[in-house]
Amino acid sequence: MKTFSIAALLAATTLAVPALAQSRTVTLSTTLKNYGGDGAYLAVYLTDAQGAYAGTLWVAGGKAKYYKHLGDWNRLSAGDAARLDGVTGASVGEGRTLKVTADLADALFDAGYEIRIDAAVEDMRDSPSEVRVPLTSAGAGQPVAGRRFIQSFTYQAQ
Amino acid sequence: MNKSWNRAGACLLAVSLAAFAVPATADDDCDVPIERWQTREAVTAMARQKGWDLKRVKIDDGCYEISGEDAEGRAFKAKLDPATLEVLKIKYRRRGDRDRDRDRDRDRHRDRDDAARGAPGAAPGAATAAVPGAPSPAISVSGARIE
Repeated sequence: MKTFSIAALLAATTLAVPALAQSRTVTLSTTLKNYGGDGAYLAVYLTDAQGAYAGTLWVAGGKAKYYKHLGDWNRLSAGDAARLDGVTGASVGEGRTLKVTADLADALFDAGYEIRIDAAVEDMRDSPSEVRVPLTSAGAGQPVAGRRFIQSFTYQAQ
Repeated sequence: MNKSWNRAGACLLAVSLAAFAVPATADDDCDVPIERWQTREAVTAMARQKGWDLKRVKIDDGCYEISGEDAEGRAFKAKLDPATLEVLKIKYRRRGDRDRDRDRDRDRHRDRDDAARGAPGAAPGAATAAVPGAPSPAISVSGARIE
C-alpha cells in the first residue's frame, strides 16, 4: 500500500512530527540518451529502507497495457490502487528531460528511502530500476547515469 | 537457323524483358533507395528544430512515419520523405480520435490483449499520499513537464 510504510515510518520515528510536518520541494530531472527509439515510458517512485514500495512520483506514458514493461515499479506498486492518481503524463522522447516536482516530507530524507526509475522503450529492452539513488540531504545535486536509456538523473531539494 | 526459331526466340526474349519491367509496389508511398535515406537521428533533430515533441518514429510504406505534438501542442501524425525529410502528409488529431488511432497503430505491431487504459494527461496538485490521522501528506506531487 502506498501509504502503509509511510505511516509505519511516521509512527515509528521518535522525532515529534508537528501538525504541519516540514517538507522540502524536490525537483527530479531525468535526461534521456539519444537511444534511437520511440518515446520512453518511465516510472519515478520511492522505496523505503526495506525496499518496499513507498509511493509513485510520476509515470510517463499513457497506455496502461505497457506498464508491465516498467517491471519493478509495476510489481512493487501492484497493491496501490491510487498509484496513478494525478501522476501520469506523456512518454518522453529521446534526448528530452522529464522534470517532476513534488513536496517530500523531511522524514523521508536520510532514512533509507531510495528514488528509483524504471524505463522502457517499445521494441527495445526493458530497463527496470535503471536508476536507484538514496534520498538524502547530501545526495541532492549529484548526477547519476543510467546504463540504457537514462543519460543522467539529478534531484534538487529546497 | 530457320525463321520459326528466330521468331520464337524473339518472343521469348521480349516476354522475359517485360517481366523485369516491374513498377514500384502498389503499397509504397515513397520510393527512395536505401543509400539516400537520412538517419533516425536526423529525423529527431529536424523535429526538435521545429519544436515538435516526437512520440514515435517508424518506417512504413517506404517512408518515415512520425507522430507526436507540434510546437503548439497539437497531436499529429506525419509522413516524411526519407531522403529530404520533407513532410509529404500531415494529419492532426481531433479530441476523441486519439485513443482509437493509437490503438490501431500499436495493435498492428503487438498481439497482446488490451488491459485497462491508463489515464492520459496530468492533473497537477492532485496526487497526495495522505495518511488518515497523520498531520500532512508525506508525498505531494505538484506536476511534471518535459523539456
